[in-house]
Amino acid sequence: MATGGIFSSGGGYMQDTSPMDMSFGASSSSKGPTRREHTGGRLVPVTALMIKRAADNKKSEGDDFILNGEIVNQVRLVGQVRTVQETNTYCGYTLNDSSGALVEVKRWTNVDDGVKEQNVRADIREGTYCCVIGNLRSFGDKTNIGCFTIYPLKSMNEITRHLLEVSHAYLEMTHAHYRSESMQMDSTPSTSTSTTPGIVAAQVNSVLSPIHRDTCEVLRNCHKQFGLHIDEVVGRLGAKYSAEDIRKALEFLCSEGLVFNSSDEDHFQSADS
Amino acid sequence: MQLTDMYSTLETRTSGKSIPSSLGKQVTVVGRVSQLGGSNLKLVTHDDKTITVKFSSSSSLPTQDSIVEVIGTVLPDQTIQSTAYLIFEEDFDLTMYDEAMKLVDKLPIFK
Repeated sequence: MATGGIFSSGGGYMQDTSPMDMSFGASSSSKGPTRREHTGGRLVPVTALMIKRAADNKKSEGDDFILNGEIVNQVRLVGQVRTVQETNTYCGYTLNDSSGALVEVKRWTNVDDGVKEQNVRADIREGTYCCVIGNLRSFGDKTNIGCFTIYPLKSMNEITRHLLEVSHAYLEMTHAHYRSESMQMDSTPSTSTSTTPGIVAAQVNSVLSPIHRDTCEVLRNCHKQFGLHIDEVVGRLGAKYSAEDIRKALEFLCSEGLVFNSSDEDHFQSADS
Repeated sequence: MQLTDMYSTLETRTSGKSIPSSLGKQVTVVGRVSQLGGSNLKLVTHDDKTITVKFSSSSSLPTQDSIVEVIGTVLPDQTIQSTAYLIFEEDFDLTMYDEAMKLVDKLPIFK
């Protein structure tokens, strides 16, 4: 199956060479939503209302769909088929997922698909709850999903699962944005998952305990090639914390990826320096 | 399942406790049928609220104790005038659905 990067979001252009790519530049752009290059983006579970809102927020037809703060192309949706239109090579469905909006789904078929296609069409009728996976597309002011696959649900528990997956994706994709916004930085929400040193420093400072924060600070301010020996860290913080507490703090910070062992297990260096 | 004019409705998935604040709105509610009576039934929703669901005719109502998804309009007396319903399987997990609906009621993406 072709990846989302090959299917265009409108206009027949490769996603990597669309006009929006030129303005974003490298994937670690600090302006605007993130773009996951090379793979065409993740498959995001969504509701019809989320699609409608993303479409309403587009300034022009050629703009990308932005959901949960990221450019999204491939989506997964669960809803009930309300209308069906069929021709030899095309099926059009209207799905209602009780989110407060409808979504159009378009599926093109091969005339040679024969019995297999007939079975699919027989399974997807009005009233059938289905799962749809496809690309978001817009033509004029209309948005639809160009679907790769549509299949009837085997169990209504999949409705529940989809609601949970939509919630999880939203929280996962926006959690980092929330943290970066609360740091009062001037970078836009989507860059919180980048590895820019200043961003990492600002993010951790507000969630660490004092000893962790101070230990991080000592290591961050050290610009030696191999960082500091644990005894040197204790020497700088010994008036405030015990050696044992500092050792445990360094272990914790290593496990969090904020510091690392440089030349040996007794030397520590900040990931942020 | 009757789907007359269903294509034009835009219902919202609603929990039992939100029914009183959804008067006049089109809703989708899931629960278990607790009592049948003529062209009405009592539905115990996933979040344990009992609501009355009215149907336009008494023929082909869901059976007692079945788990159903009801689509309809909330009337001023907090009953639901149903336009369609779908019977879910017997092992549908109402508890998990209730947990999912807590997120639906809480997160801004669903509003």
